[in-house]
Amino acid sequence: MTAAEKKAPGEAYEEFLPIEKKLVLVTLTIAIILLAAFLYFIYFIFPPPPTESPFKVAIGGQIAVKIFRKRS
Amino acid sequence: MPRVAIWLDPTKSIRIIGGEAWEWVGAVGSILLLYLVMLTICTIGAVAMGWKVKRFVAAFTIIFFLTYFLWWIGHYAYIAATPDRYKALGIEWSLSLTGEAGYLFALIVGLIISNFFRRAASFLAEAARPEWYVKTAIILLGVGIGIKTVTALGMAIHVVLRGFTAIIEAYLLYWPIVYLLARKVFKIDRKWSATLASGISICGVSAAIATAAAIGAPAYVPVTIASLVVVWAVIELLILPWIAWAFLWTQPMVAGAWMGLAVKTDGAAIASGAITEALITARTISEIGVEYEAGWMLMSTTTTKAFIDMFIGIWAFILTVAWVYYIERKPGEKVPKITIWYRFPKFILGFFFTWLFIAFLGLQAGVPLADLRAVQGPLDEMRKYFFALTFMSIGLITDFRKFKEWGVHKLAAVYGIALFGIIVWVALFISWVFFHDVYPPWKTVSG
Repeated sequence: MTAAEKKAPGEAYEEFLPIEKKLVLVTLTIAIILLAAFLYFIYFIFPPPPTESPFKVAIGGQIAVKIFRKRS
Repeated sequence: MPRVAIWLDPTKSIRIIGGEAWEWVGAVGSILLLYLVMLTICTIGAVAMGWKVKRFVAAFTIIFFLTYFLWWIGHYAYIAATPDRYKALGIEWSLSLTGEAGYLFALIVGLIISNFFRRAASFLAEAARPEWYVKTAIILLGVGIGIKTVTALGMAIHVVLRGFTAIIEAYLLYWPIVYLLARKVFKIDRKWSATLASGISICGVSAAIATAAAIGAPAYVPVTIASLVVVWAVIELLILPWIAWAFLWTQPMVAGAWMGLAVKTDGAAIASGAITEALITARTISEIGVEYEAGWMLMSTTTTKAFIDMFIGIWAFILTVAWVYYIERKPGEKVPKITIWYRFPKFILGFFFTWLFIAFLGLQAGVPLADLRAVQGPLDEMRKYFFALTFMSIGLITDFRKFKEWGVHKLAAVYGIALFGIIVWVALFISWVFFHDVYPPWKTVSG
């Protein structure tokens, strides 16, 4: 291919075809349906492993220390 | 097979992999052996393609050794080491570009030769074949993914499952949005837009090449986009881990997955995951006196990254069908089914075959993981060198005068806007939805 035959991005812009619109819409629709399905699956069928949040424990601990210090 | 380690002392920079039986070869001997193996493979290909063999061998030799030297320089500790390695290396700062800086150096030197030493570039052009090298590298990538498939079955299935579902979701959102943006807002033509959307959505360089082959885009399209992918991936690597440290330190798994979903190119993504883990672990220890078990954040990065690579083949097939049957077909024209086969990038089959074959060996044939890893080591190194040759070749065939003529600055702007305006935020949303409140195992330490 010669340099003259090369087309810059946008140089040979073609009309946005209905099939392209369809490709975009179908992909986005599948994405949204799958999002709902995946979320249902990972939260209800196969829920997250029961790891305790270190922040709840740490913050709880800090509050307990403060209360203890105030009382004492 | 030589492996370049991140080094401070040049005499300790090359390690021999492939077993103790090869230690006697030494560093220089192993590099020469690698050269001979790659030269033999590539020359067979050059003969089959009908290229000028003598000129190919001469050009390949120069390109190989120049690239290897730059790859080696790219592993210098003050250039490559990420913060998690500072302590082990005994350094206090580094550019943190990872060993993949070597790719960037190869690209830059290739660009300098191409633009300032045109006669030399013209001589080297016979062996400057980026598509050829990257397709070989993609087939070799199948080995690593096969082993990840084997190991994933025995690992934390939850992280793997979330990574897998997150990546399907992310990809299906990335591609159409970026394609629409490029086509409707920036008025970029179809082949540039589709290749750009794949390059920015999946695994950068490989995806751009596969998509371009599937839709019949000329070679300069994926080559240009691959260059943009590399440059923007380095920018991401330098920015995103710090954003994660600042705003996501209470959600470590979200932060790790975000790196895998947002940072393009394998190396830059994994490096970003490693930096993120180091930064967040340090902050959590200092702020709440809790230390996470090492490796979990990085695992969420690598899982998402590994699965996104698998999309290359699936998406290439879908695009081939869409382009052949719908987009390029003229009214009333009948397209024979065999056209799909002609158009479909065959190296994708090589990638899938390698992946499934390795997975089969590990899961069904009972080959021990250690044996598979022993094979993976040298092949993985060869894959990196093929990638490095790809970047050097991209530089060698890239003429900035043509870039100016083609208006690539517009494409770079679209890439940047799509990356930081869409991809990064969609990736964050997906990471949050799939990984929030999932914590790695942890223990309290004196804080």
